[in-house]
Amino acid sequence: MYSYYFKLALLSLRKTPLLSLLMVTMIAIGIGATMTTYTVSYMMSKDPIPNKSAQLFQVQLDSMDEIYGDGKDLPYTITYQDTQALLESDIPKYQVALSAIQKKISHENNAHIIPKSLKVRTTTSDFFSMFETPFLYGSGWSKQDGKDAAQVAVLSKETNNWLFDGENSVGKTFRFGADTYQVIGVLNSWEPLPRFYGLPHEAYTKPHDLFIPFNTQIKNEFFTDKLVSSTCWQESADDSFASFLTSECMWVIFWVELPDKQAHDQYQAFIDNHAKEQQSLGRFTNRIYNKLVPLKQYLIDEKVVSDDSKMAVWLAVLFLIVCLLNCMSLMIAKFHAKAGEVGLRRAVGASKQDIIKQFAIELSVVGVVGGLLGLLFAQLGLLAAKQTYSYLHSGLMQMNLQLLIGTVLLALISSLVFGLYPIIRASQMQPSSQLKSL
Amino acid sequence: MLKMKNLSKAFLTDAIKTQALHPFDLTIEQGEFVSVIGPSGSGKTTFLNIAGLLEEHSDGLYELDGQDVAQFTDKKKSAYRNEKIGFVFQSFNLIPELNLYDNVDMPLRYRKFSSNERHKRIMQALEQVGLAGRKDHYPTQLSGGQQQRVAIARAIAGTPSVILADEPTGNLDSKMAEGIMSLLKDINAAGTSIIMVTHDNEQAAQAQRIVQIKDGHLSDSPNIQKEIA
Repeated sequence: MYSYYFKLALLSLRKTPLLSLLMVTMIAIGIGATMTTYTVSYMMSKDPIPNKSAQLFQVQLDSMDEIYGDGKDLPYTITYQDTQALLESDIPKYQVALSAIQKKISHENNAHIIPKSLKVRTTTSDFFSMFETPFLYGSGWSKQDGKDAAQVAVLSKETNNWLFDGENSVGKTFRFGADTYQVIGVLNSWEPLPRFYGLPHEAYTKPHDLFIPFNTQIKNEFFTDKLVSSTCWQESADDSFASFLTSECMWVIFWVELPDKQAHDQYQAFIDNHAKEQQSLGRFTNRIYNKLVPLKQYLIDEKVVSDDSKMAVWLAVLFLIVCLLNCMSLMIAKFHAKAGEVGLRRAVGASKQDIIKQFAIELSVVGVVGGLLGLLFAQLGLLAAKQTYSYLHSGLMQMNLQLLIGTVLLALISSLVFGLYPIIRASQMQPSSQLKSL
Repeated sequence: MLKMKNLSKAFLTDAIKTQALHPFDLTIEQGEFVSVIGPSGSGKTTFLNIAGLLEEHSDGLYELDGQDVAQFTDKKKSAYRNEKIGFVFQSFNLIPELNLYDNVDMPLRYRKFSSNERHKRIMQALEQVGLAGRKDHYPTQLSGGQQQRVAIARAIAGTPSVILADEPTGNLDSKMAEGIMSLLKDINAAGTSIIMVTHDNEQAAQAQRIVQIKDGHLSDSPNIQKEIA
């Protein structure tokens, strides 16, 4: 029977092509606008590492004094000396300290490859296991390499393509500033969205181009101000790098993976103990206030999903409702024009439910076609957004399968919801009064 | 088959009550051919709509096949219209965008027939009205008389017990009208009851029985037959 209704729906839409086109376009424009803004907002608020986000915590310590440390919010960075102490713990499954620098990178002997100044993520060896990075070639560096501040690097796929033409470059060397570094691994495409582990304002920018051990940064006294969020509430003793490292400047981001509640409680006790020990040495004078912030909470606290994007979604939804209300008036007109057919069908035996089913199928066809066209409009909208906001991660402007299906479903359901009144109105028509209008 | 007792119909619009049909009694047996005559606005169509379960009566009893229709749900009324009643209208009421085959198929679609059964019934009905060869044509490609034949095919495809025809020849010339009347008589001869509303006394006289409606009063007297004759 449904195939019969489908056939009738196509005939009916063909009978009034302009009206059908208007209805489809109306739905498509509303859906296109809504899904363009929703896609950006949805991709922003997606769980970047769903299988373990509940086990990842950012460590925040209140190492400030009573003047600076009176607020409830703590910086999302900690000092280098605390970092060193925390790295001693064996409670977390994995623990990662990270920062970033910028360096001039070049090929060792191929002059055709023009040197580039690239962003370098400096981190500890657990980084690759904790964040489950996919490797194309090789692997991350060992704990020992990390401790020894080895001059090794893991390249992003893009950097490997640029520097080594995409070949397996493990074991090969390249120029890292004035030094020579050896490639130990090459990542496959890896673009977690949002890029949760770094600075909040970088969450939607492109990932860093290569990775080197954190200790290598320290040993070589590399530091790039603009790539670090540093809270220096007390001046260093002097301008030397060594003084900077022992200062109260908070600039290292620290993540731990705690698989269960027991590990969480143990680690909380560990960092509190560390704070107490430091207190006895004259630090942490304000209070013992240390937080293990769950990944998802961190994204909320740091407003990684902007309020503007949520507002844009609401405005787009209102726009969709206006489009659907317009569509609804067209549906009323369309079904009114079919009063004669309704009367006839009722006379020859169609029940009210039969009429409802027939028109619901017709609206479903309109909704699905509107949804598909809306999908096209949304893709165009996202393409325009991608070009306008080229500095943002392109993944933000891409629909995943759920969103693609969701778009068509939204169009279908909203057309049916807004078509409910016109359909019921049509089915309630007194058949005898409509028979003369066919 | 059809029994109306003390049945009446009143319309209430803006607090004004209009008595469309005054209380009347009428019984029509299976296989009868009854004409309903009367001037325009006398209540003939209202009577036919009530008989065809398209409108509800206000008062009295209406039994179809021994069942009180006042107790029917909308779904049951639809099923009755589909299985027991065939409609033929003055303006044919064919769906222009469907071909003849699909027009005749319409009532069968609301019945749980297999597609083979539907095909058999559609072709039989079209053959009976002499249009099987034009099953793929559209209503606009046919003359008025042919269109009414399609409407009759649609009415008989479901093998109803009664056909309600509302001025079936009203839009046709006399030659075409004659053809339609002969078709209706053939259908009646095969056992289907026919209740036909008409203006035309000559056609009315071809029925076995004539019922007259005047100003909402229905009279079912043998004298009418004589008067018309």
